[in-house]
Amino acid sequence: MTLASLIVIPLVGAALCVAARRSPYAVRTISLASTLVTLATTAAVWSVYADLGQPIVAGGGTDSPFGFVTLLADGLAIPLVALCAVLSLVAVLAAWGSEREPTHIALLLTLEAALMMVFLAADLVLFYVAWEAVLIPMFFLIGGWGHEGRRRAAMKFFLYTFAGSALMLVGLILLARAAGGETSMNDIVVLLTAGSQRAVFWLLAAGLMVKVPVWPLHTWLPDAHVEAPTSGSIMLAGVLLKMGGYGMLRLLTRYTPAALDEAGPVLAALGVVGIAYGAAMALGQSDLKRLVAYSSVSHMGFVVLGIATGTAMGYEGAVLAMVSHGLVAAALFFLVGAVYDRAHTREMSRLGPLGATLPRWSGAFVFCALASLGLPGLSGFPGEFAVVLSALPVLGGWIAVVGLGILLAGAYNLRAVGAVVYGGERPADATVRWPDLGAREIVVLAILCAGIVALGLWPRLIGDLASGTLEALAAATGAVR
Amino acid sequence: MNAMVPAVVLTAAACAMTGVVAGLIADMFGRRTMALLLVASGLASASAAGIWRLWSGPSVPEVGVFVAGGGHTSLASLMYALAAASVVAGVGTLRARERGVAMAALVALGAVLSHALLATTDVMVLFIALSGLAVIGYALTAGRGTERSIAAAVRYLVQGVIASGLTVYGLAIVFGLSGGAPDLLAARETLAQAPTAPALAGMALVLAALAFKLGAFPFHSWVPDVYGEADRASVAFLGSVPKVAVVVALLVLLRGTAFASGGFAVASQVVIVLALGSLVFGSFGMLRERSVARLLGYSAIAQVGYALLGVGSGDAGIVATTIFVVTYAVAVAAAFVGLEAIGAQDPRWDGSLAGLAGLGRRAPVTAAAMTAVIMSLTGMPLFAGFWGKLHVILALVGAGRTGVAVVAVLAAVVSFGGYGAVVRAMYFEDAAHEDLAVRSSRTMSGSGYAVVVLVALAVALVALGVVPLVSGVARVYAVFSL
Repeated sequence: MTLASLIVIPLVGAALCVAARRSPYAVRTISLASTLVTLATTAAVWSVYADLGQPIVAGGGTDSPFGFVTLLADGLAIPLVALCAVLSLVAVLAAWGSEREPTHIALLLTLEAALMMVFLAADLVLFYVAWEAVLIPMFFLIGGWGHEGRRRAAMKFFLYTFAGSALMLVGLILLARAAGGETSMNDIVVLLTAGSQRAVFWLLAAGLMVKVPVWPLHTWLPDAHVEAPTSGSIMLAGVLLKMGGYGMLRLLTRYTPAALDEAGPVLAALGVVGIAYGAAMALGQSDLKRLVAYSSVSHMGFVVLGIATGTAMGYEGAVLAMVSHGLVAAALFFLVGAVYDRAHTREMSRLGPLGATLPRWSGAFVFCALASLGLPGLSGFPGEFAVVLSALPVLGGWIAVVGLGILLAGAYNLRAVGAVVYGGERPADATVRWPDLGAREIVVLAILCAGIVALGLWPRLIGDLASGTLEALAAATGAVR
Repeated sequence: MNAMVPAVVLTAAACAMTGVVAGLIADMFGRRTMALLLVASGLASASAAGIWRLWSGPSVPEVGVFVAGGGHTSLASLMYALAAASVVAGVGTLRARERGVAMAALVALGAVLSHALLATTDVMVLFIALSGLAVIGYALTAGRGTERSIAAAVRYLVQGVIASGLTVYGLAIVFGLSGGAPDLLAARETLAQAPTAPALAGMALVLAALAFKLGAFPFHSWVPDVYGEADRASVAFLGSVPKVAVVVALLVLLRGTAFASGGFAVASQVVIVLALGSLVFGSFGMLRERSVARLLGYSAIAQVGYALLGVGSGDAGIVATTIFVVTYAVAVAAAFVGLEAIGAQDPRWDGSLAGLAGLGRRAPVTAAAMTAVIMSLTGMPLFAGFWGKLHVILALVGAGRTGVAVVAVLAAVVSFGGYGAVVRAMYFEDAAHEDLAVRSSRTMSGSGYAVVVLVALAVALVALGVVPLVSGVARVYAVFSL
């Protein structure tokens, strides 16, 4: 019941927001209350799991009256559920004061519910339903509240990810058929032949890799991230991309271990190319939001690389990197949104120097840029470090390409800091004075930065939680070797 | 018990026809709105009669020339309900037409003929019902009275007559091979043992005729014209009710023959080819359309492709096809009821995509309901259409046609290029220059009927999408198993 409430509470909140749309005060109270209650419930689930060490299951069983609705929270799901709960709160706060605010917030809460369902689903049908359901609110968020190119970006986002997930559906059906029609994830025992395992693997991987996104399937991402409103970018980069990594760990490791092992080098290569390519593209951008968008391609490359290693350490690194990137990307998109609200431009050359005029904003930006480039002590470091360590035996000399990506990450982050905080062409005595970060913005950033520091100093916060589940998954993959 | 069975068909027909007679009498006294509502209530009571008998047991084929019970009764109830919905939604338009009540009466007659087609086991009844539906389709299309609608109707009729001719030839062959037994169920036994070549020829002819009625590739050219030119409320009927009946007739026809014997395996191959052609032509055709009704016409071609994929997938496809065609019928009827509502709220709307700009703010309820309909047509989860397409894909994979399944899901993606354009126009585009207050003040009286029907159908689509998730699909199967 606790697990179901993680889905139901945001939905109820969304309905109430629409019902109370005449009163902005009521809408904000409702949105805050529902995201906070969801967050508290997540904390409760977390502590129960940490105590028991056993997955928490709701519904299910052959004589279940709930059909396909069976939920499961384990060491893989809970970190992402927690990330989703935190970022939903952040996104809702970012949406305050927007145009048509009640609908905007209701869509964000609906999105939260759908995402929770993705991470908690313990049934293939429910998983797919949730996976697709995520598209609908996101489509409206981009198309209805985005920037100039929003209409095209919304369609492109929908069509790309729908194409991927449609192929994934065929893969899921093949999987369920091989399991004799069983759709409950825990009850599926399949011993697919090598050939059919390969088919299922690539069909599933098609949908998952579009979502991550893995180079070269990433082309929808820069448009969608740049055109989406701040709240949408936060959810998109922070949580939606993680669906891909989550799905790989949840489905591919368990049901197609041999094919995953076989495809390991291909996945690793795609991950490595993504790391370097995303970073190089980020370095070439003049639009600050586009820079952050391309940095996501690079960071998610680490996640794919970690999964490709097929080791428990790689998986742990991938989960850590996902949570960290969720926090860092959300903070960066929030900061970009905050400065866009003031300057109405994202061109780096026309923003700076902000160091003197917006000291709080600049301080937060420098902090997040350092987290993004992987400074030890902040959250970006442990996950990517673990991935690199676990990938070393697989990649051999090719690790140099990853190193290049890391160097470029330093370059694009510092270049952005240099251009926006210290440099730029905006005359210091420009007539319009922009106000620095307000209380709401500081609260949001404080939440995210606290997470970034906590995870950086104490990665075992997530590591201990996830390790049991991930070791079991790695054992399944390792067994076929 | 068995003696009662034909009475179910007759009861429903009697309810519908009573409504028609009452409506025509009311029309004589000049009470047009009341006349239309009487016709609709006749259809609604026919639907209720079916629901009342819904759990009367499995299909009982032995009695008379009609099958009833189980899935047949549920499907018939659904068809009458959709016919009633199209009449109620069309009240605003129909009462302004001189022959509006006659058109509603034709809808009722069409519903009865569709029921006959759905339930018959007799070759003659099949032919009469098909021909009758062709004439009704012609009359309803021409009933709008514009030059273009009459042109579309004539084109439809000419092509329809050719299809009827093919049916006669095909049925004559089937009739002859079966030794003169008019009963389809008996015929399929003999057909299974008949020489392959003539049986196949007969099947091909009948298949062509039914493909024409369905608007499947390569007999699809009439569909966008009729959908684009006829009254929107008439298309809500024409695009949904006869389609259910023809698909089920096709299933009954092929069930014992095409899939029972090896020689007829060819027929299912042909059906799959027709299906893939429909999917490709329909989905890509949607992309370049700027008229919403014509766009939905191309979508109808693509959706028929899914139904045919189900038909061609053997026994597993029977339930899949039925579920698919039910979800599609509700959605397409809702879509055209929605267009009727939009047109009634803004009589100056030219039917174009661009004209929908800003609808999300101008008419939030209509736009939200239309969005649910569009999502269902796309096959998004949480809407009824998902289960329809899912079951077709399941049946395809079950029949070992994974490659076809991949094409089918990708066609759904392509089709969103068209469906998404509707949502995009309603919500993401701003109305260019029109004074919104002026536009909304011009609402035609009677638009409320269409909006209420639209919302009811949209709620049904969401309920049918969510409930199986929680209840499991077994109960859905039970209601619609033929």
